[in-house]
Amino acid sequence: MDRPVIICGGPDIEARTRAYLQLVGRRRVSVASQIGEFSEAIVDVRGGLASKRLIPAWQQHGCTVISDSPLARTLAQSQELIERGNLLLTLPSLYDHRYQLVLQQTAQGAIGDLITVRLIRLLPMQSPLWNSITFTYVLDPLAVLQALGGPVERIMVQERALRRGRPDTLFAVGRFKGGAIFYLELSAAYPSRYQSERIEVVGAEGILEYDSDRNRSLRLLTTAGGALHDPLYEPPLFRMLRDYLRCMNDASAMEEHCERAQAALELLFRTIVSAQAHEAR
Amino acid sequence: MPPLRMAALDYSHGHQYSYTRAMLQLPMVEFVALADADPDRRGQAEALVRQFKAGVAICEDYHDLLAREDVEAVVICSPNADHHRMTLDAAQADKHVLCEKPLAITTAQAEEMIHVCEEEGVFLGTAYPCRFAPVIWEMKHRVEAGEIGQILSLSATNHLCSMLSGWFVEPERSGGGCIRDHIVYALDLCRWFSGREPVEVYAEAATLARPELAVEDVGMLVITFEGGLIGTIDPSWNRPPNWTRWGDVTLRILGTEGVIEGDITAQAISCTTDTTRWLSYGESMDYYLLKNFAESVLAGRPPLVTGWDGRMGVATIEAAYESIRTHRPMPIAG
Repeated sequence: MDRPVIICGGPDIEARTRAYLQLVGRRRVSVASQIGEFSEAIVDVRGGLASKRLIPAWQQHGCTVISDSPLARTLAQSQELIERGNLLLTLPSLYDHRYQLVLQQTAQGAIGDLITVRLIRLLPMQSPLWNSITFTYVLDPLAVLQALGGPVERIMVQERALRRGRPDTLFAVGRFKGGAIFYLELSAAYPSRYQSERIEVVGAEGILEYDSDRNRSLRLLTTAGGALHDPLYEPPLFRMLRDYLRCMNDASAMEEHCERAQAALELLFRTIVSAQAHEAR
Repeated sequence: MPPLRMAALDYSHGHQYSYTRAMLQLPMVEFVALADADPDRRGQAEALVRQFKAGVAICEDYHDLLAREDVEAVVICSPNADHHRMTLDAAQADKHVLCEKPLAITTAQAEEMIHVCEEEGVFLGTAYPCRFAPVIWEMKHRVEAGEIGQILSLSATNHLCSMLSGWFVEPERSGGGCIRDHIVYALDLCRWFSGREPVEVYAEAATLARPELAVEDVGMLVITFEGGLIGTIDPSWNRPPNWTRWGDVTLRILGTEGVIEGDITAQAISCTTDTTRWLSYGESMDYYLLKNFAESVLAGRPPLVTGWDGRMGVATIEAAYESIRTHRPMPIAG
């Protein structure tokens, strides 16, 4: 792949730079906040809506854009950007080893027909928060829910601004069209250094559970402090970017990604409407 | 001070065996009688009592027990649909009542139970033992000491293995499934910790773990409390029958200054033979529930968990079922 890569914005810029260095080679990586003379570049943009305003221009220049949520202020605007083509939405959990194992086991029937799903992500209040918890963080877990349970029949959402002056916590309960019910809790209002992720998928014949508080494989304690990690040879970010680079050369893979992204986006905006209207959507 | 003379009224709910054990062990209680119409349950209860004490009256008809002058207070563990009638009968026989959860089928019934007990001058307690679990006491102490600041949200679970049978899964006797049976403990903890009443609930429920049941066995609820505080409860009976524990009761509270989490089933050791079981070493919350009830009655004050606490559970259940029917958030009768 000869196309240059431009990395814009976002808190994980160093990790992305490292990933692209490994994936496409050092000379093709640059860091920029705006598009310049590049055309047909791969533009990896993260952050709030302000950093996304150039997406249409990049698309017009023949660039392929990799973007996180939020993409645009409305569902229609977001869908329009995806329909223009050459746009990949980041859905990192689908490339996360934990989720992949849970998805694989569920799909293989290890726990029988799906009954309930609980997905809980609790982040420290220092985590980035663009606009609201829903805009910033909900797309990825919604994609996970859909990957696990299929289309969603209805979702009821309550947002709360607990500690950060704008909605930083979300509680959602809903039902898949297949009948199973789910619970989603997201928060970026937890204390400093607190981070917790819990996945629980229950089927008619068993249960799959992951709890980051109990499952860390490495514990480090020094006089300078402590840390818990799950070291991975291939981090989810790396796996996702490698797959997205593959999509760029494979029309059917790109189409599949767009369908998945559209479905997640559609549910994202139902989530927003539910929270605003105080009704299940 | 003489002990409180207590009796067990109906063993349809298995919790009564644990309550009986507590009553037999508490120094301020004299266990004097038990009643159950079913000969097998009655025999099992009698065998348990004999391990501790002789001379306990064994009754087939609970009215005979209520007619005894040596009984001052009763613990009722009948099927849910009978709580109302038996509580009224006990109160009118001048007995204090500790009633198993859920307090009643309808809010109107629960209110009548409270009213009649007040009129008869007896105390009505609701058997919510989770308030008396050591980990919950510790959490309560720390929250009240301000360690996590002001409460911002509460997330609770009360799971159970998918194994219930008999009247528990007969709607006319139980009043429903996991929504009826399993939201009240977690709800009570949320109320107790926050000091706020629930005002609205949105709920989803279905019968999926055992589709042959006539009651729902999985559910998820989002509850709004006074002032907009959010609490969530997962009351599902969805654990596999061979799960290591009977279920769980967990509570996570986020505050302005921190977060605190507890699981009342976590005090256990793992024992693996042909299967793996978790063996609890935690102190019995049932023991402390009965201790508080007996001490309160003897002191002439209401128990820590009152009829009103039970009534709020019933009102929330009613609103949750309405929400499940309409797919809308429903107000809770306060």
